[in-house]
Amino acid sequence: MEHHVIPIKTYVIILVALLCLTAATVTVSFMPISPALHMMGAIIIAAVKTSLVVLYFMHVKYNDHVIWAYAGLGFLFVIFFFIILLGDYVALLNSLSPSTYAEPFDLF
Amino acid sequence: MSVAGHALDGHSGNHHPEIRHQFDDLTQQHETYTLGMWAFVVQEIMFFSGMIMAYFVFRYKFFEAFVDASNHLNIYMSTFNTVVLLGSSFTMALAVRAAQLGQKDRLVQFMVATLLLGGVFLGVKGYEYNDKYQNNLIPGYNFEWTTSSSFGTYSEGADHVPLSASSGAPINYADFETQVSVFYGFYFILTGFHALHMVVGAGIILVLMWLSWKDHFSPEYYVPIEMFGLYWHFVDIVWIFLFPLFYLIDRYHSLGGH
Amino acid sequence: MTVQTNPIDQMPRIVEGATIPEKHYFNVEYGVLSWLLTKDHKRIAILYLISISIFFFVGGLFAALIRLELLTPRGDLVSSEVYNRAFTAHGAVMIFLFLIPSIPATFGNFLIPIMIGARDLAFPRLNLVSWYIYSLSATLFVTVVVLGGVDTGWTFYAPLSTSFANGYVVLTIIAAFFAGFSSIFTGINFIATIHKMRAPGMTWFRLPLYVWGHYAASLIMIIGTPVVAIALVLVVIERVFRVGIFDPALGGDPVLFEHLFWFYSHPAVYVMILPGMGVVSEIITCFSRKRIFGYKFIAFSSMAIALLGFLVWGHHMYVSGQSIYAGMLFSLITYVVAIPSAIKVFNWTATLYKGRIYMQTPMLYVMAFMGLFVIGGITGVLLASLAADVHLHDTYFVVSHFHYVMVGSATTAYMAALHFWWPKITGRMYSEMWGRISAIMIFVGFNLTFFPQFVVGYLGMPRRYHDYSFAPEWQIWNVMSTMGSSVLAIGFLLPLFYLTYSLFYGKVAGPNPWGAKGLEWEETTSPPSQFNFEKTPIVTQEAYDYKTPARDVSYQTASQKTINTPAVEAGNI
Repeated sequence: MEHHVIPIKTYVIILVALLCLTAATVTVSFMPISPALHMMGAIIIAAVKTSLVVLYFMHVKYNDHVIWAYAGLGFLFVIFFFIILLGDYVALLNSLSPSTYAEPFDLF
Repeated sequence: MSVAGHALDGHSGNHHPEIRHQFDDLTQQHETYTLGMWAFVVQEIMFFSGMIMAYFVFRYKFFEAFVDASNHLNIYMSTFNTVVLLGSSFTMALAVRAAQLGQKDRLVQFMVATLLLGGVFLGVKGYEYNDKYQNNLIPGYNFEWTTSSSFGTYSEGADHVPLSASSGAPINYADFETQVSVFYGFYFILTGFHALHMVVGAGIILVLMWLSWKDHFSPEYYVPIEMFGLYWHFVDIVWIFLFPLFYLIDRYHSLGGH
Repeated sequence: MTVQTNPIDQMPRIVEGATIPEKHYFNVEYGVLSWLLTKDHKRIAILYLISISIFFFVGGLFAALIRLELLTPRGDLVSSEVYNRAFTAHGAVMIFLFLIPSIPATFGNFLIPIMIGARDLAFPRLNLVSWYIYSLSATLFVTVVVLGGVDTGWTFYAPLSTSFANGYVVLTIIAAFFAGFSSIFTGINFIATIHKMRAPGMTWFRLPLYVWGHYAASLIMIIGTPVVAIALVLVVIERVFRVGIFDPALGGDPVLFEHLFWFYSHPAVYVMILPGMGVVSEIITCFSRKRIFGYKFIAFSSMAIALLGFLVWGHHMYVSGQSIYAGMLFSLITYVVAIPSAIKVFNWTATLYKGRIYMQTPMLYVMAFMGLFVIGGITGVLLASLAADVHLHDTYFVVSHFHYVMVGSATTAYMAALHFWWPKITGRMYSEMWGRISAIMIFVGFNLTFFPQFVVGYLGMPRRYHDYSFAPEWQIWNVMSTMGSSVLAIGFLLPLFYLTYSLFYGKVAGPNPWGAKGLEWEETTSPPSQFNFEKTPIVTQEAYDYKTPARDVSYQTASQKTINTPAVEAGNI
């Protein structure tokens, strides 16, 4: 039986990092940048926070490759889903009403 | 690879009372449960992803309404709640660590802390829900949006309805109030499902606390604690996404600029 | 023991004097409670087998009603209301209660632990829970049907289902939701079992292809099912609380429902077909007495189908209002899915080549599968092309296409599995003659039912109409179809009788009546004992190590092998 026991110090560092990233995501939302960048910023920061939780709190960093694969699997399919579905809506609404909905590549 | 863990005769060797009959040893059992739990977490990710995808579609379609509605949510409480939930994830991680080391007292203490923090989160959430109820912001029940176009540039009216490029007919029949109600609909559905997961988690943690108190777990066998940890961290991850998606849409509008 | 002199000419290879072992999973305990509280994967498989058989015939009853109504152009048998409820009940029962659990929950449950050399699935209690959830779902479906049914179609398209449909939509959706979770739990169980419970020496590339097929299907279950579950929950929320999600009058987006729904429900057809493909791989190699051709290609094509299956959902929505780019992308990827499917068919055909082919009942079903699957697949490619689909969308061409894939392939594979593993599950052989008669009746009846539907669909007959008096020239095709469905019905009813008969009076099969390879045939008794093996088997050989026919002289009858001896000692696994 070998279970990797992570030192408390590591957990504390991760918690501090998560709190800092929370502060960062709040800060970003108050910055005057384009809506698309807002969304990107929010998602990227949330993704970083998620990876920290998954790797350390959920011990994936110390697990075998099968667990790595399954930890990534759900997120991978969410990304597929996101790109195709949102890509479809952006292209569709833009083609129906270009004045209201931005060009797919002009969102930034 | 677990295959190496198989003994020739499945019923000889390690006779820990917590080994189920289908497993050869504790290592195999532990690995199998971990993988099964991760498969369950994948399932949960996809469950929430369906709602989040729908949210993104409407965020793109009704962007102004979403900004307006988001800026009316309480950022102080939600940030506080984020900190609380990250804290409960942290104490849960420490509880699993205590279980690994066989520190029974600390295990129970950390689980109590996790439960308390989760309770604080749900309390604040309940307060927010009540606030929405008082302000008539429950879609389908009583919904009134009196504060629309408070940020100047967006106004309710004909120019807001997109027209088809070919026929000139309005595409989007929803007026601004309806668009805002869609935001609040998703707000209640997603945070509601999240809160439901937390309530279920709180129930499980009570059982686990009792079992830990009864010396049910040891450094060799603490699978339920670890599995529950995975579940709790997953619930935390959902909130990590929900927080910016609902509370932080282009907050700079509330500063008065555009 | 006598060595049979010319075993090639004999199939099935039943050894005279074979006996049923004294203790096996079936008689280890008696009483209703010993079944309702069992955690044995084999007993749970039997529970599933009984329940899904019941609902197969319930679904078939509604199909008969539909076919009878379409016998004449005028809607004179039932009203349009009743007709709508009938095809909804047919679709929902067949898909949620029969096709999705069919092979995984019965034969997958029974065989996967045995095939990989485990004593049970990884989570036996979860397995039992999944059956109870299935039963709950089935009870709700029956309640809905008794109360009067729903008229939304099994797809629950919004806003029809959220704002306009009468009937018990919410109850039906809750039933479908439970059915989904039953299959999620099965999927989790299979994944953990296949990864972590394999016997020593059972590497990934020694796994039977049946297990690969189930692994790919399990991935789809855990990734796709939750999405349709939440789509259905959103329908309930909109219907009950009037929160705008899908109904445009409330600010919602109806096409979004189709996206969420088909994100799972397209991959769901692969949940139905991938285990069936695994069954075909097992049977075709056994009845050709030849190694499978291109093992790795078949294994990886299952995984490729599972992955690509998630990227094609929009081909159900070419005319529903998605963007032109999405249409092109989905069309292209749908063409690509045809490649791994074709790889499998080519490999099976190559396995037959120069094999010693026996045409017993399971093999007859497999042959039917191959023919019907090719027709179903090729018409699928036709429907995948954007322009053709605009003409064919929502006609009987589509109905026929998916029945070729779901009934012609998935159900045929299910019947093949039932006949192939029946002696293993029950320890007794069924009547070969009746088996062949029913297989041929199903094949003929099926083609007579559904091939005319391609024609009438191409001529423009829309699906879900109960009255086509505006085009009475379609009647001839519908009459053919209804005639065929009667033959099909008899074909499906026959096994009910001869299989039940065989339970009591069938010849004792012995552990390996087909002379097949694999742990379930070579290392267990028929029926298997409670924990499958006396000792955990050790695997030293790849799967399907059939001697080629010319070298089959060293063949030994199954009874000569000592049961439950570790394979290394026997030396010739």
